[in-house]
Amino acid sequence: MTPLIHLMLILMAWVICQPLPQKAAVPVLTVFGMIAVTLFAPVAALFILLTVVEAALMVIVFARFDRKSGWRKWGTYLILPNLLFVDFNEPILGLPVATLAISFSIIRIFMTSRQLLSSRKGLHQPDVIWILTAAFYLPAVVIGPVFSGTDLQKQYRANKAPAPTLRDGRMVLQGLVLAILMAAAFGRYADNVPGPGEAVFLFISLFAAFWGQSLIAEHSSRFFGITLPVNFDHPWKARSIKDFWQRWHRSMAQFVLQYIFLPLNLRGLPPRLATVAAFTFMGVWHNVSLGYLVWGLVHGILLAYAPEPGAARWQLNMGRLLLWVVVVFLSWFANYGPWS
Amino acid sequence: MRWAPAGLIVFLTVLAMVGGHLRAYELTANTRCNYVLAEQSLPSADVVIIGSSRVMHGLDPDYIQAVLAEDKTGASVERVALSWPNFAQFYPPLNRYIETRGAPKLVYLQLAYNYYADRQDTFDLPLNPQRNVAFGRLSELIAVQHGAPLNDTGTRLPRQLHKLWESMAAVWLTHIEMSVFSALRYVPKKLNKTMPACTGDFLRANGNDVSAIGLTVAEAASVEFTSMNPTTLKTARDTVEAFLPMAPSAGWRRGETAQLTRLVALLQGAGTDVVFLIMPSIDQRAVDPDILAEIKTVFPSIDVFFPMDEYGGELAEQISTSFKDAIHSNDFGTVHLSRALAADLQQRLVKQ
Repeated sequence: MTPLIHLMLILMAWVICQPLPQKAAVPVLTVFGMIAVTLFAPVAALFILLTVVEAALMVIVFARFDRKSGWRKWGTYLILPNLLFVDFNEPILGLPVATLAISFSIIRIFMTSRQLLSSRKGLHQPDVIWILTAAFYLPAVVIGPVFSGTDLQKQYRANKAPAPTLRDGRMVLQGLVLAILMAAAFGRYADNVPGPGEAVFLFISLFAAFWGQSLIAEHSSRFFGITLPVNFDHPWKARSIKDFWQRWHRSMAQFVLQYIFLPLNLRGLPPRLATVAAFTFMGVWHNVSLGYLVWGLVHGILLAYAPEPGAARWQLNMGRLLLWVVVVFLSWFANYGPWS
Repeated sequence: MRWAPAGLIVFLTVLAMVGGHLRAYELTANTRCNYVLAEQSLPSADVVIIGSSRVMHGLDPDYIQAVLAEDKTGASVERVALSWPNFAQFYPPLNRYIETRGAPKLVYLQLAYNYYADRQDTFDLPLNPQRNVAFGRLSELIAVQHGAPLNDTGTRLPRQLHKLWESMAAVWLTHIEMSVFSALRYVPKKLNKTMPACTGDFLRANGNDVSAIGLTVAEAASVEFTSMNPTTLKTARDTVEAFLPMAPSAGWRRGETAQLTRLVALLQGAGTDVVFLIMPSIDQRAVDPDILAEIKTVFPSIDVFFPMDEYGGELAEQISTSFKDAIHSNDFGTVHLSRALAADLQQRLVKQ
């Protein structure tokens, strides 16, 4: 599903929602998300639905256990191996299938399940429907962001839909220009650029596609009065690797911090090692390949061990230069290198 | 700004409508020019030759027409040829041809099965590839896709679950998307001159610079045989050695044969006589009788024409090595293959 088709489906849902009350937006977008994924990737839709059922059953069963029970605290991590279907569907099924939405949906399913189980008010069983909503929420179905369905639940219950602004329309258009025109242009011209320049062009193409689609997701969701997390916060301003990960793919960075780093650290793993482990997970989540394993490992090691740049201007500039050299090279290595 | 989404809808709708009219799709001129040929405000040609790049390189419709004129048979000949096609890609342009210009009297339809082993697993997917999605009408895309079996490649699960298979809804949404892009790409393509006009010789050459086109009888008579470069010859022979058999009744050809059947039904339904055309590969001087028998089993009422049947001896030897590569004839090969088709055509037209 390309960015433009994704937007077309979101706009169709917007038309459907016009005569309906505000609260209908979330269910309409969930149904549209299910239809969209089924149209373009029927096996993926079925797989996500099965994961939703798996997660819902886990939540219902584990909610009966004591809050300190190991199953209640960690059992939902059993959802995460479902991510392997993205990379191993062909040997499992005997033919390659479209795996649209799986990577992001499973993360959201997991986050929602964890949030439901950790709620101090206890589980209200009908709330497991928010696992389905998080999985198939149309604006986020293609490229994220990742979030918990309970965040959607809060906005749904608040029923205070902020009106979309002209800026939202403009940002959706900007997203289209980035994801369609700029990404294609930089990708096309990358072949003509010699040496390391090719890696730079490919990185810009990847960033344009990712940022553009994130803008479409975030701002089109506001057409329905729902606010999603922002994935990119001017990453070109990053001064260090730490700053980079506070600006780049923020929702996923937040996920690995909250659900991989923190639990490992709380269970006794030193913070640096926990950071390396968290970002190694992030790498393998992208793609089960040696290239992305190295990508995650190196990002984790840099986050854990790289010193912050000094205050002097030359130190900041040198830090920025090194940062971007490493980020661009790792991106090229993971996506186009010999082990990709 | 509640209506910002409505503004986006209007904007995209206008772009899609304009783009559909401009047809500046990210496809080669070959595709576009075949549709322009099909949609001309002219009566149908008497004879249309339909096929792949083998037909583009190996049969010159102008030369065939000239040979017929010389023999006072006189028939108009056109060519509809796509590079790297599967059968499904011929349905929309042929349907358009018949609808717009009428049915030809006779069609030579190349048996353009795939012969490359590394392409076979996905050769029939997607059923409606980019060419069809861009230029095809919804009714044509449905005619290609609805109830169409796929090649049986031995998978446990139905191949309709393959990542390259697309639902009709997905296909139609992609069509709208391609139309929007067409509107955005029209001006850059015109400025970069990457959207040449499909007119004159370029049109008759099916929008392809390497097509055989425009040989006169005198020019053809002066084309001489030249031996192939030994390295090219060896590479070509090695390529052909690995070719898959035609095998139209095999399970692994089921999808391709089903699409071929739909093409035949379209043409015969319009009143056109269909003759199957087999274009030779390098060194090929005959068609395996088992293959011919198999074709007859699947398509009992359709004749098969193989141009090399017209030749023997040293000339056949020369023609069979007059190639640019494993499958595309050079000028000497083209002259003789075209001449052979003209002779066959003459006999068929006389019978009619």
